[in-house]
Amino acid sequence: MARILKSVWLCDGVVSPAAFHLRPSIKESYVSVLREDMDSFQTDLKKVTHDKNGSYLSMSVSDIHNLTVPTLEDRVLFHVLEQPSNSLPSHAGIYIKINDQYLIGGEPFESLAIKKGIPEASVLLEIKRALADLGKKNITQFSIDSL
Amino acid sequence: MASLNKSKMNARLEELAALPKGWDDEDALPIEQKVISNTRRLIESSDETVIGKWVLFPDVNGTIMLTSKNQKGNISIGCDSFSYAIETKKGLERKDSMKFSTRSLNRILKSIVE
Repeated sequence: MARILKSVWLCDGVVSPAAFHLRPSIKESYVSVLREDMDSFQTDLKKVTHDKNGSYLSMSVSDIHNLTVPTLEDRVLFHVLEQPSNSLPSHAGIYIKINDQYLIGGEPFESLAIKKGIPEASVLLEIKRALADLGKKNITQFSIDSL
Repeated sequence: MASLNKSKMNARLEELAALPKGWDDEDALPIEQKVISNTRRLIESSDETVIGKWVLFPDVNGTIMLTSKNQKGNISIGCDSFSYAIETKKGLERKDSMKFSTRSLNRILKSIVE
């Protein structure tokens, strides 16, 4: 699975946790990724990349499904669902569950950590940090012209 | 001798200061001027080696995030306060809405585990 990185999310080989932000403006319920094993991957990559030179994180589905967030007491689960569209046949989404509740951008959620006084933003940051850490060794940079 | 890490960090800060509204292709805010000046103060007061272990990112709400290169820490710098979550030798340390202070922040920058 490839998570496309906006240029501001990558610096010195480090990925910003903000790359896994669920947008409240659209009540985003998943992190968009593209399936690298699909024939349409490179075409789709070109469609979603706005810069001349882009980059993406590669994460395997099994690594995503096995990912944990040990810094939180809450049970956090990640799973991938294929969500192809006519314009992006390789599109998929990473869904995030915390204590059996799906995370949706901007929506409140139940959390043991929050009950213990940890701010909601900090809980979300730990989850995003885990995803950013997962892909940090598999960053691919590309030029639009080469696709 | 030139402070290369600090120069690089300051150059990155200038890049982030120039980001317009909607820099994320959605509704991200530009970085607040006070946040820029706070971050500049932090860079200038920091140890050259220590600051080289961190990178700067913009956040959609107009603040700046410092992330350690080993991905074990994040510090969010706001107009008057900061928040952080870092893995130290004693375990995960996490605090929210601390009053902005370069002294406190420099302690946190140094305490990250390798």
